[in-house]
Amino acid sequence: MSRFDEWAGRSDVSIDTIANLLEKTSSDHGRGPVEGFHRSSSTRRLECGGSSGEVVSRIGREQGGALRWIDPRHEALGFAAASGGAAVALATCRAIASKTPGKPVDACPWNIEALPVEDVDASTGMPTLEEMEDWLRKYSPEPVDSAWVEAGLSTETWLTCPQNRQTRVRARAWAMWTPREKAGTSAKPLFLAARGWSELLRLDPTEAWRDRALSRDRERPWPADAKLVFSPETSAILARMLATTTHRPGASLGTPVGPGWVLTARPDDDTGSLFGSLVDDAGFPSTSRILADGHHVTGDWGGPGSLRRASFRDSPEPVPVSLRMHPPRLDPPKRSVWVTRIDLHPAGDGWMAELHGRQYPDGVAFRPSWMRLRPQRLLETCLGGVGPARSSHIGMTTPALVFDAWSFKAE
Amino acid sequence: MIRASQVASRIRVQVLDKQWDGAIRHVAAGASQTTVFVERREDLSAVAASAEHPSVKHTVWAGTCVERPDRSLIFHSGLLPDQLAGLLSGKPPRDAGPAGQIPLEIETGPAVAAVTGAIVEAQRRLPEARFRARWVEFDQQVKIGYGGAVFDDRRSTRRIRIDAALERSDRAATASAERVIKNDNNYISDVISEIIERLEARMNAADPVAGPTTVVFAPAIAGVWIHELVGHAAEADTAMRGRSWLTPDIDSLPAGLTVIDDPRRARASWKFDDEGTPVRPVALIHEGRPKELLHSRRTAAEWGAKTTGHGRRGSYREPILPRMGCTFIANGTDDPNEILQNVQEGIYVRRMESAHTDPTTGRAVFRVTDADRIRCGKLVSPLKPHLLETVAGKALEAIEGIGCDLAFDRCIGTCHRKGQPLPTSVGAPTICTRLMTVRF
Repeated sequence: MSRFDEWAGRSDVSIDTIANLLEKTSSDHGRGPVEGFHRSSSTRRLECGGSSGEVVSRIGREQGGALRWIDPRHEALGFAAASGGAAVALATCRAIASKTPGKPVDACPWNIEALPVEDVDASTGMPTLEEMEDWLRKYSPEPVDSAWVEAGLSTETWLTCPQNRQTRVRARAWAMWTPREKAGTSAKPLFLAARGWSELLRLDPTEAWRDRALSRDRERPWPADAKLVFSPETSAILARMLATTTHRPGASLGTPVGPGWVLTARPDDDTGSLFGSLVDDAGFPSTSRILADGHHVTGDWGGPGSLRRASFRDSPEPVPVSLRMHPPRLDPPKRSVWVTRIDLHPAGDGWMAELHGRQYPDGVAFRPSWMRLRPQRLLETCLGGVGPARSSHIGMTTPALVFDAWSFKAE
Repeated sequence: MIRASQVASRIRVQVLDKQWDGAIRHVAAGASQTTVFVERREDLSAVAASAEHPSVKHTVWAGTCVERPDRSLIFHSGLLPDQLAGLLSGKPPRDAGPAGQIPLEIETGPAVAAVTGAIVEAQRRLPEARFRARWVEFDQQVKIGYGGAVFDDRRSTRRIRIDAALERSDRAATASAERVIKNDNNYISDVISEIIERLEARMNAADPVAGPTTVVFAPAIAGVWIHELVGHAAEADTAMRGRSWLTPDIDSLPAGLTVIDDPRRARASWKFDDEGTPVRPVALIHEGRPKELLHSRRTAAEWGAKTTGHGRRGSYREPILPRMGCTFIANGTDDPNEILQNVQEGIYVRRMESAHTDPTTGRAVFRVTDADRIRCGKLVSPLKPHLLETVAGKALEAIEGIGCDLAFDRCIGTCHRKGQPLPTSVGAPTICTRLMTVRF
């Protein structure tokens, strides 16, 4: 173990100490209740790029704390965050809170009592830089424009109303590659993410490379009136955008959906899913929900248990996580387009989408095509799924989704 | 009416104290070619949709990184000066310091007063509309050690944005406007006037016609276009990997086109970059010919070029990248009114933001949120939001007018590159180009 490893893995204060500081901060605040949070994380990343194949490391440690408070009508939010050990960070947050106008009355919009949870990942081992380099070299396509792999370990402690105390230790591993395409051709990065290094070792990105390679040299015009089969990677992007829109808090329950739109939110799945956790990022218990059953919209992903922080500097916000599509399995449609890339841009009541695809399964690639996509039309034309379900780095697990032929003008 | 005195400038004090200078010099003396970067940064965001309930988010962070000659990076949050040597050598640092607090520089009160005041004023002038005001402020102090010297710099900026939505019978419209706050008088009244005017006009917005079109960019707006198409292609690490469309042999651009990046003009300007290199303005395109790239210290050395002072990092956790500061098209000689009058059919873009950019192909997609249709040289009706697709070489070659009305920061954005956000500025005069494509 290197000297850096020694200190990177060493916690300067115990979770108990942090929890006590949070408790003291809340009781001493004097302006009303607050929600307190502290995170300490270690990360190491290896990056390789360019024609030289130079490998560069980035390792470090970051600590920070945050306080949150809410006004009497639950309409306005106060949030303070500061970096540093728990004592410094929370003292700074208190100073910020004391200067913010308005008197808070609540720390969170839901007065939920929860049992204390200590949610610790089963495998929290960090890889050595040598192990990371071996892995990166094994799975990087040739040639690569840039690639990196990162492993991280975080310890989080928080105190919410009414004095719920939770702790969580999480391991994460991420990787990204941007393959070098031929001159004048754009490349889209490919991401991979897993719950810790040992989980990353189980994944194999090579199938995605094969898909990318087969989709080059696109010349033929996009066929009209063909069923569309989205690769698991593109299905995840599309399904997550649809879920974000269609199942947002306050969604219209009962809206009709196609037989393939069977969706659950499983934020409480703590058995290895990327974002699964017994509690959310505000300390509230996570619960599963059925969002659609192949006939209608039946639920939304918001409320307590859905709050997530982008970092300790960000206030927890409701977001859809750990979503799973369970479409009925279909045989691959005979005449269909295999969509290998999708770029979605918000436009009016839906999106403008640029789609890349090829004849399914290994046929010629088509010229990229633009389409206007409307959420309701997409939901109604989702027929089912093909092949095994895959987990993506954006928290969506889905097989390749099959959509009925859309009416669009190919360009 | 909101008066400037409510957001009066404050005298800034040095927050990173002199103890750091000795520690940085000590480390730099023992490790040549090593860069030490120490940062203290504060961000404030105040948002109001009603005068009674503003939301405030106020964060402060401090951190340090050491970048070795092999480009490996070690970082740590909240270090004290006497822990710096330990970071470099890998010795375990102690806790980040005794109980206390990080000093705060930004005051919350003026921001809250500005956004709630803006809402009151806007609702008084158009009660049937819904408004949302957002104040964003940041202040960053850095110390950089390199080659035995310590460089200090301070970057700070404040801006306000107001969004509005209006529904009347079966029609609806949205509009946005913003300002970088300097020492202007009545700036909020100006923003509110602008947004109400556009909101009313946009109630009658029509569908744009999809396909190729001529585009006239309002003053400053082509800066967004040029930031994406030229600026990112001129970042030296991209060009050095052969991944930029902007190659030195290009000779088909209009002779009147000059594109400059000068971080000293940026809304969050810098004197030294994050490697301690003094900044200088760089002509990316000079009179139609590609000229210089934006360099970090490393890319300049590898390229055999002069340093430009464009090496920036999103925070102490991130590696150095060549980045833009304030990218703008230099003034031309054309009369902006004549540019518009010469267009038979086209669109006049007032606001847009980037949706996708690929510096390798030069292809970019923009979200146009406010535009008017041009017919026979006149603005005839507002258009619904749509996408605008462009390919750099063709669209730049097709420039037919460069106005003499250079303006800055009408569309304010944060540039994200490789996950690193950085506040940037753009500017341009009125510009007309023939080859763009509406996607709707």
